[in-house]
Amino acid sequence: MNQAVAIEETDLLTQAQQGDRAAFGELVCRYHSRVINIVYRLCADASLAEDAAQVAFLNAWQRLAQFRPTAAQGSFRNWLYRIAVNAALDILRREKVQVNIEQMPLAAPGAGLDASLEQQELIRQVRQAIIALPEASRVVLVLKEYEGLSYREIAETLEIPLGTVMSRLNYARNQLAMRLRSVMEVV
Amino acid sequence: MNGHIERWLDAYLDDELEATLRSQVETHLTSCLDCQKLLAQRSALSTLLLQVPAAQGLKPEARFAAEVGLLIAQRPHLRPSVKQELRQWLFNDTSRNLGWLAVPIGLLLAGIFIQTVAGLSSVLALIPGPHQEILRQISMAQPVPVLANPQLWSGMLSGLGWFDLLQWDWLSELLALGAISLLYLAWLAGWLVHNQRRFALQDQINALTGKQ
Repeated sequence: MNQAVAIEETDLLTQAQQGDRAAFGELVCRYHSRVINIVYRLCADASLAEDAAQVAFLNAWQRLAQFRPTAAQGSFRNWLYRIAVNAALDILRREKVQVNIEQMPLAAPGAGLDASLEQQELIRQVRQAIIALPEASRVVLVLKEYEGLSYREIAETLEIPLGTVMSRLNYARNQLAMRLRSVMEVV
Repeated sequence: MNGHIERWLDAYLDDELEATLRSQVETHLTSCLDCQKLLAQRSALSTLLLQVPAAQGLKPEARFAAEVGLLIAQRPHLRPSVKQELRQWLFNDTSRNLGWLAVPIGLLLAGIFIQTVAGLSSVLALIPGPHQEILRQISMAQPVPVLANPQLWSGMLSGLGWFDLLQWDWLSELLALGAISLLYLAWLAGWLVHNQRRFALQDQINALTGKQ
């Protein structure tokens, strides 16, 4: 099954590289939620995340002719993730967006009234702690914790050494553990 | 395993450790309360992070894809520039490796060539009479292509002074092989520097997986 999906993705990629927009549209649908998830975790703003994701897909389309699934560039997924991460960070830097954690929705609209205030406060604090991390560490943390990428895949995606992945992840987790100590004790 | 294992805990938690090291970490954990506490803290942190919900209130996937479709409709693929193409070719793994391999292969061929010519020179030295006369008779006896004419090459190389291949003595041969060896060592040094990052990465991978 996985192999079938992989082969199909390769076909889609080949067609898209030849200018087939429908094939690229299919790739967009496949990676839409994952790309949005990454950029959202990085900028903590759904609207901004959608903009960044659109920029990422547009950039991916324009650079598609240059993509080669080699050891240097990695898989299409990792290549796309790298573009998405860069798009998110570019938007955050260019627009100098100051994400206001206080004004973030405390809970998802669909969460209903059952979501306790304590839980909402906890989520707010965690988001705040993640956003407060340096970009480099935040990216590694998001790819590990929310995308479940292996160390090697993260290294490939961000084009950094494996040791750097480990040190950035360790730094991010230490920072979060320090900032969220009181929260974790309650939990 | 001596001491604490903080450096391995993240990799252990993320299931990135090789079986042997993983087993050592587990053994250590059974007897170390500090590391147990740290592991529990790390585990609780991961659980806490997963409580943050994904983005909500997003556009439907089809609408998002349609919007991206509109965005790309007016934008063709960007063709890589000549510089990018050249860069890709130069830094492409295959061509880069072939490029690096070409140097020692070239040096090896040069060494073989020098050894062959030196051997030929020794054989000629055993034959009485001047070598040029023998070569002249050979070339007159059977016509040879211009480029394969040994007289031509010998004459051209004689123009370089001492570099007369067919009159090399053991000292010339030694010097030539020494020069090739030096070139090889220079290539080796360059290759090591070039691959330093890769070796460092491999060391990290070995450290991570516990391989020696």
